Amino acid sequence: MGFVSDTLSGVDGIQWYYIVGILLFVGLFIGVVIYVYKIPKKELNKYKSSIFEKEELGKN
Amino acid sequence: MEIQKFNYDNAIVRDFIFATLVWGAVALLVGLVIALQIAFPVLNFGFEFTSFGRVRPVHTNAVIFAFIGNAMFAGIYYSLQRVLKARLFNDLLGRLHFWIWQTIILLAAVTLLSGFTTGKEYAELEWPIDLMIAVAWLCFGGNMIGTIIKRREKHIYAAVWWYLATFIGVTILHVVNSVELPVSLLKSYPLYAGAQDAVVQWWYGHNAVAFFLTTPFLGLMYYYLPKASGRPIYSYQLSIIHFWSLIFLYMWAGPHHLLFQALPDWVQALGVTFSVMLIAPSWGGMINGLLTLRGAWDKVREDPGLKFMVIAITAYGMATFEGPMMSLKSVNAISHFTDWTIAHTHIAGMGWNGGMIFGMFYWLVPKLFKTPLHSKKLANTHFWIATLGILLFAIPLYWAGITQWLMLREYTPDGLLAYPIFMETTIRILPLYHIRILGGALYFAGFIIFLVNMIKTISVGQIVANEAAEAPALDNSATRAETGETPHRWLERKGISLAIFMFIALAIGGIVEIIPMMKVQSNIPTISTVTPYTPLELAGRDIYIANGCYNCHSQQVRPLRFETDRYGEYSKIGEFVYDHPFQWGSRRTGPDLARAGFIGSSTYKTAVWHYNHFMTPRTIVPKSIMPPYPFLIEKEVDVNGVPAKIRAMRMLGVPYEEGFDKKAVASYLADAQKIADELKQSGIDIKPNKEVIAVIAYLHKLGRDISPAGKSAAKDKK
Repeated sequence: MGFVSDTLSGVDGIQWYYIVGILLFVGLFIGVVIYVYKIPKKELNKYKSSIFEKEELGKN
Repeated sequence: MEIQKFNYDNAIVRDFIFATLVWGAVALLVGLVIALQIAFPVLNFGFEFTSFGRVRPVHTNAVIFAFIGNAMFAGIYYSLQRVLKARLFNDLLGRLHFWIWQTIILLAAVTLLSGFTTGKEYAELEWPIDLMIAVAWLCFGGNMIGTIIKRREKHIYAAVWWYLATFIGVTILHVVNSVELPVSLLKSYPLYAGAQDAVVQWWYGHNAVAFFLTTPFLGLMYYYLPKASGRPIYSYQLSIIHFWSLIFLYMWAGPHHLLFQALPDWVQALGVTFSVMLIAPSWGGMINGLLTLRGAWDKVREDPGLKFMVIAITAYGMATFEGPMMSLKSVNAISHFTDWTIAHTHIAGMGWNGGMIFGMFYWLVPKLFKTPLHSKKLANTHFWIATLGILLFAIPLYWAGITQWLMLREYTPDGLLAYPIFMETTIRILPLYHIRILGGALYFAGFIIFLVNMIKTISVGQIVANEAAEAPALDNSATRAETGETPHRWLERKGISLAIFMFIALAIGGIVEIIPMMKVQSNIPTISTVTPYTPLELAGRDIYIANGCYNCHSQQVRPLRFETDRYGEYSKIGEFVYDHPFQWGSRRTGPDLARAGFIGSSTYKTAVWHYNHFMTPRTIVPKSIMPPYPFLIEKEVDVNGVPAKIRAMRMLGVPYEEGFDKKAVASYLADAQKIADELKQSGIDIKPNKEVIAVIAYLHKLGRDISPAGKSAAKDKK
């Protein structure tokens, strides 16, 4: 922790952190979106129905 | 494939349900009491234990940790076992969690009413209770992670991700925000001071909303909404996207609670930027919830539980749109310090959390006790009364907030404040406070109907404490290379790895926000004339905190014309460097006090004025809604405890000279005698060790160091 804080304390232009934050988020967001749209539909349906017992699904 | 037999632990769910019902009634009743106290100050009764400043934190803590907390644990423990097809990891951990949590709630009520508080909103509990919270929380988290490890279901369903994020998020928040130095068994000072304390506290405050009131309830939504409606969640893809986006973004947004305040611009910009971005993942959850009901709206018409869930999700959508809007500086200038914020939090609390709890219980309790709900009609009545209650609560407060803001910023054609006396604005919004009481009373009445319905249902039903179940054994040992899974697919079946990734996503925002505030000195410019509190002022500050004055008075003049014209020079970071804890407040029911010691400011008052005002506020300010504080004149300060406080402050970095603790009592008595003498000149005979003397000294310190008098005193000292 000390290493991280010491390093950060020497960083100039700390005001740019939020720009870096947005870029990090955009990267994460794009990555996750690409990932989820590659999951086969059948698999997704299986996961979202996994909380139901067989008889519960039959009702609907 | 081997089929394994096991039992679900329903007893722990039942216990948390009972606790929710009991504490829910208490929390809402206390809320109604404080709403009445604001409108009718006579209901403060003049006792320290019943004054608004002490009762209000009891309401907020009881609602959040007792009512919502217990409901959350009931919902999680029931669904976690079913989703993972496993009994809870350890029965003893569950029982410890339950009983420690209930003890914490009892201790919280007793200590807060007795004036033992850290003075930090939603984190008021003193250090021994903080330690108990940590133990209870670890019992909860340990039980959850243990259950994940021994589960029989390969894929970890989305609801459990939210539960895990809740555990990790609250752990980080509680540890970082509770770093404090104990002075005695029930008194501590936070490690952080002023602006740093403010950033940490509102990073905590904002994310307590996120990880105690939002993420666990999104998890509950992902389980109970499909179960109650009989339809799978609309989009599993959306659940993954909005999960990672939401937990990543939330941690960055805390500083939006401190806009226009004494903080570096970059911190404020960070808060605004990430708050606006939060709309997207929040609405992802709302859309996913509402679209789950596609084709099932006929069920909603018939089922009061589903109706409550719809109200909950709608309120969530409203609050998560409103929140980012309130973090825009132009909107925040209006909403902050006014009743708009109170309306916003109650839309979320009564609508989102309350709605989800009622919806969940109407489905869960009959299921758990194996009997139909006692009365659907009563449940429907509850629904309509509660909905009307929310509207009658929130709408008047939005109105009050905007009315007060418009009055506070109104100028005459001559360029003078149209309403220079703060009280004028309060009187104008009092009728709206009366309507708010009606809204709160309706919501409480609805809760009583709900309570009766639950008791009747439970009394005819019978719970199976250990419910038999069976599921195939899980072989989760295959590596990713063997299965050919994508990284996230692999992660979704590896609970510990999933938790580590969550921790990283959560920690980034906190690290970037807090560490530079602590480490980069240029963020905290000091002011040479600002001096540490004298022993008398420090004691007065502790009494100010103990009585919860921060619940109604801010200490932060924003750089807005209508504020500087009313109170004086805007607040600067350097003024607060010795404030452990900061006391900037979040709502002005009374005027700001940041310049109460600045001679010439509208809020500067003499010692005699303060004395009489504490005794009977209405004789000094007609129609004032401030509670009377006659006990300050009766109670004595434990002067012998002051040296320990000075030593603690020195340890925290406050530059008292070495050995000053030994001179602290003499200094205290000398300063107190001056105020006692001043009061004597006006015919008031009072001993110097009375609490009121210390509070007056503290109020006269606020803003004094940057006033001409303070600057000249500092010059003389040099």
